[in-house]
Amino acid sequence: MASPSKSDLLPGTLDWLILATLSREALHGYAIAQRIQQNSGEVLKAEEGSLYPALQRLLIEGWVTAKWATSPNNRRIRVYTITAAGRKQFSRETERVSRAIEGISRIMRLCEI
Amino acid sequence: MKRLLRYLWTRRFDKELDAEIQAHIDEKTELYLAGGLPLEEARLRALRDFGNRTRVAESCRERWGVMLLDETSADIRYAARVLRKSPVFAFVAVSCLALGIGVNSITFSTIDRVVLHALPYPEAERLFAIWSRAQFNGSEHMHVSAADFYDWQSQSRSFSSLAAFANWPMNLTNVDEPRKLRTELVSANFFTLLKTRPEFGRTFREGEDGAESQPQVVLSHHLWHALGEPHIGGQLTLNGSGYSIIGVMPPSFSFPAREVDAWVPLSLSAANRANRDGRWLQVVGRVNVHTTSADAHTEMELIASRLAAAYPATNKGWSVSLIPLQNQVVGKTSRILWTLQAGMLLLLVVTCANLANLLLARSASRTREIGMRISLGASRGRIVRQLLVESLVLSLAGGSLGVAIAQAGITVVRTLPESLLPRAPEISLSASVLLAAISVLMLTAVLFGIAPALHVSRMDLRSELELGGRGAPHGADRRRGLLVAVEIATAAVLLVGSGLFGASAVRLVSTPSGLRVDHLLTVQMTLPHSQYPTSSAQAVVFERVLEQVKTLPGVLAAAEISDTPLGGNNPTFEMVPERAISQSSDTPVRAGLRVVSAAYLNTAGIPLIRGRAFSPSDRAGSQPVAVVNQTLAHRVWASANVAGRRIRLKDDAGWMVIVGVVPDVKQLGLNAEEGPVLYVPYSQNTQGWMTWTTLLVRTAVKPEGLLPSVRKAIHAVDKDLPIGEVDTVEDLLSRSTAIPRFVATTAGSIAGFSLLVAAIGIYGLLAYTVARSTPEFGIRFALGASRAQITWLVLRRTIVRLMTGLSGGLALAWWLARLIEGQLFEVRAHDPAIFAGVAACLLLSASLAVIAPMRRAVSVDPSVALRAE
Repeated sequence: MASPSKSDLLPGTLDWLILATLSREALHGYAIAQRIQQNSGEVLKAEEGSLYPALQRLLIEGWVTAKWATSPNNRRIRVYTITAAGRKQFSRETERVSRAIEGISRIMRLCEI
Repeated sequence: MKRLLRYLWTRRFDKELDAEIQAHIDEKTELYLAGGLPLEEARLRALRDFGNRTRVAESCRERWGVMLLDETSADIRYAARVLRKSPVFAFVAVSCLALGIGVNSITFSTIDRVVLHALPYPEAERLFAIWSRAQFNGSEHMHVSAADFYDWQSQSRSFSSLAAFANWPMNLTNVDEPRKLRTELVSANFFTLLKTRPEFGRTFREGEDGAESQPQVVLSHHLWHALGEPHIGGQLTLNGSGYSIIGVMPPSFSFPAREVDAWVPLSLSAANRANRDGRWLQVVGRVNVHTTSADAHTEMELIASRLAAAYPATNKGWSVSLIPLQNQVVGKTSRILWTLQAGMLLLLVVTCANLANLLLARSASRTREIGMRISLGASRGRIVRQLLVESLVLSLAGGSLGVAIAQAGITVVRTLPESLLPRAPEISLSASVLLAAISVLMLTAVLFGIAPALHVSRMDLRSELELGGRGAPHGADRRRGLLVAVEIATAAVLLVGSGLFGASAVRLVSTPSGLRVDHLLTVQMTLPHSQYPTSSAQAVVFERVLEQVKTLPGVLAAAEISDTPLGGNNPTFEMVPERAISQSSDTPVRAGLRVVSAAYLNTAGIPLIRGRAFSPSDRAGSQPVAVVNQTLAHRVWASANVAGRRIRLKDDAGWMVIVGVVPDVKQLGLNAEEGPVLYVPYSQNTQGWMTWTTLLVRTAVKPEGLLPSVRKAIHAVDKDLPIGEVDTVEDLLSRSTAIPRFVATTAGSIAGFSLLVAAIGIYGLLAYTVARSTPEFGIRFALGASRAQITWLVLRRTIVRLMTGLSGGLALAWWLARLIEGQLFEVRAHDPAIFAGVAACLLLSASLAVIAPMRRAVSVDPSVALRAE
């Protein structure tokens, strides 16, 4: 089975990245990918496609909603907006992610990499 | 509709996702173009950045579970195709499942409602039937005298209340068609004791059963409906007097029997209340919440012994028996039902074994197909799922057909008459029962259906494909052999059971009834007592009816008798015989009393053993005479030569001279003895309360056809004379044997079916073995083996299986037969002929089943068999 979390991220981090991006503005798929790449260095470089199954999951959970619209350069795009439940999930996830990162950096310090 | 919606949704989802992904890639391409790359290069890069587009789309769809649905529907389509390709297998498997589920659901639902469910009265577990017990002759369930009942009621502390009731048919007149009603006399607390409220109006209040109480009646729902739904307070003419309708019971209420039309108060005169001699009431009691049935029993016995001491003339030797009302209502039936259920469970074993056998056989022959699919790249999980779906499709088809069978069967069972099955209208298809039956069969189907799939995981693909499925594991063969042995054993048990019940039913039906039963019409009549108060007045009417009927065309002879022959009623009275020799002085002779017209013995076809029958010269003024049956003659005088001896009723001083002796009649049914019986002529009858009679008409044509003219003849004598039950003696007789015949037929059909299934099992296994060993036989023949050697090779294992199954089955049947011994009639549970017959029958069927595969085995042509390799 193809799993979207093959993008060498901590499991669940992609969902968080998307929520983080959408928490500032509503965006369509391509724009989300661009933002994550720009803001995170090269994290999502591996496969942009893995974004879409993750978006489906967020839709199913009700954390984001999607709407078809026309972009300024006249393209049919699907714009994702974060919901209230999505924001709540984002803050929960933020806590979890930061704890995970903290843990990892401690181990890294220990190993003196 | 749902499928269409899902299809449309999937289509739209795919299109939108595709558009979205395309837009993403286009935008990325533009980015690279803007960066100065050529178009081709830009597009390739954009695609590479995106990753595997198909997989992303699939993964998106999977998120929504669309993928899963797609695969399952493909599995179902494939399963349906596979099953269509082997219709015989599908048919046998589905019908096994359907039959197993169907019949077991019917019997289990019946038992659930009839035996296990409490009676439909609140706190029914506290209700008991209370009978007088005659210690001197061991009769457990004798009716209760009015005086005893009122004493019980006032003295007992264990019961919150005791109610009495008695079957008391009444004539309904002042309506279009006068008729006899099945009415019950009940004490005023009857309905309160059962805690059942009326549908309309009210029931009896305390004290409304006094001698001077207003005549009132409570109607059953069906009578109320039949009478055109009269108002509460309306009038009904019963036995010539007006009764006001005070209430209507709900349709579900029917106590003590389904046929009861109405209830009237048991309004007894002071003399009747004090009567301790006439035992004619039935009693039902509700024990107090904190009283155990043992305590109640002890107390009732104490009261009975007090009464016996106080009134030795009537109560000496009389005690009580208490049985839970539930047992009283369904006791006899429950044993029969459990027996049938045991048979059905065995049938379930056979059908399950057969199904498992079929699936194993199929799995062996499908090893090759599965091997092929695996080597073409199907995942093992996918194959297991496929096989599982196949089993489930089978189970679902069989299950739904089984539910249909159960539903249809229960509709039929609900209409069975009370005499065959009490509480039948309460039966409904029990969901839990159905669920249990379905899960057992589904489990079988699933377990054995995925056996090949589990085998797949250990499968060596190359050898499977090369050997063409011939390398099936020996384990599967052993399992199938075991299943065949189980089928044979179960068939043996069922055959023994059906043999015993069958022999028993045959004996019962061929028991002589004591009279000529063909062409005999019976019509019950009851005279209104107010109009014909004396026995002589009654005798005149009865005689006039006979004269009218005798002249009708098609009538050979006509007579009357107080209780319908073979009808089951046998009112007994204490008799005083003269010079009895086989009597100890203090035990009374109780004998049935039948009042008959002169031509009765002749009309009924009862032959005389000694002496003469009644004649018209036995008149009111002449010497009182009687005819006795053989049992009475032997029990009292130890001889059939009793003509000239005298006998009288204990309550009647007039001696009667015995003029003839006749054989016994099976008055209580073919499986019971009627006991001592005394016949006296209507012309000399002194029992003025016997206002009822049964007209017996011997006809030259079909008896039912004469009914209209007989009816007209009766109404020519008195146009208000109500006509009660009409029957033929043949029907009466066949109804009395209905239960044993039904049990025998059912047992016979399930045994026959199991035999067929076992034979198919033997045949299937052998045919399969032979087919698989054809090349081997070819080699053996080529090397000089004789036909006999090959035959032995093939048969050896089958014989072992057959013998294992047969001996196991017969041993089990030997052990189980004891449990049904009480339900047999003149057949021993261990009847050697039946056991031998079953063994012979199974061996014969097995031989028939092996003939075809054997012939194929010995006719193997070595050159053909080897070339096929």
